[in-house]
Amino acid sequence: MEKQSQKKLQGEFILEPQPEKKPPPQETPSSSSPSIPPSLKHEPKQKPHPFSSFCRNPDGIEYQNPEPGENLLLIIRRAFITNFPWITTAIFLSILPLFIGPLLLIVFPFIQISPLGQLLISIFYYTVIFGYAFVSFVIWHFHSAIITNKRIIDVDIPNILHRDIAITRVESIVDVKYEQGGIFKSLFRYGDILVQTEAIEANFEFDKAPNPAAITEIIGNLIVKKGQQA
Amino acid sequence: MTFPDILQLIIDFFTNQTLIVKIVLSILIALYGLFAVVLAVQIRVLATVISQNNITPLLKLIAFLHVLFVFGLLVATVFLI
Repeated sequence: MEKQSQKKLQGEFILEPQPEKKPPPQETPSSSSPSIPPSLKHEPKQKPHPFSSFCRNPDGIEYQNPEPGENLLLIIRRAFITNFPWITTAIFLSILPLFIGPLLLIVFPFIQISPLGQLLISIFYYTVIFGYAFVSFVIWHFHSAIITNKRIIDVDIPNILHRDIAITRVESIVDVKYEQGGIFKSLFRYGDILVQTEAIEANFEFDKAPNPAAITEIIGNLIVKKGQQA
Repeated sequence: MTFPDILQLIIDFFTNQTLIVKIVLSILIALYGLFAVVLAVQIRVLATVISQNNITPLLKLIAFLHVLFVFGLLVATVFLI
């Protein structure tokens, strides 16, 4: 009987003794060094160029009411390809007078405007086109989202007269997901990111954001870090 | 002024294409100038929310120059045509 008990148990339902798994070393949170996702910890700060729509650890960005110990992790704008419609419209309007001008002279021969008047009309026309392009660029530039190690700040600019700013703390984030559907979004790799929070503003949405997988990973790491510290 | 004089004045007004162009263009440029001012103000406000050091000051400058240019165009339209 003793020999049987000493004999190693074998069979399809008998597991080999597993080595003890050591728990991962826990980082002690300190008030002076807030949590930063591992993917961004060792990345150097970089200055985003003027047409940048995705920049990790950006340098040279200022925003409203920064908190002490807050580190800027990511700045997101809409993918630059989304500016294609207004760029092509501006170019088309710029070359339109080359075709319309002679046509107008044929259709309306009785309209005779002085050369100075024609020049001022032309200058005004191209000023309006410039204004349209400038407004479109400004709206794209300021319509952005900032992710720090403490908060997410979403700046929505539907038009030049309207701005919608939403701020949530990382602790309030419950879930993050992204959607990338359609031919253009798949081709140019941008998508919509949805951040679910516990707050009144239940959802933060970053529409047409580039690299949605990377952004989701960064926010997901923030959620994980929050869970480990809890 | 008699009725035929008033009628002649109206006819002269509507046949003076340069005057019509001047008035219409001045109104349009003035309205656009209002838009340019609003744009410059909004850019200043948005820059307080978020600002990128290598481009936001440039946007403010362009908006300001845009306003100046439009008002210069208005002056040219009113006094030169």
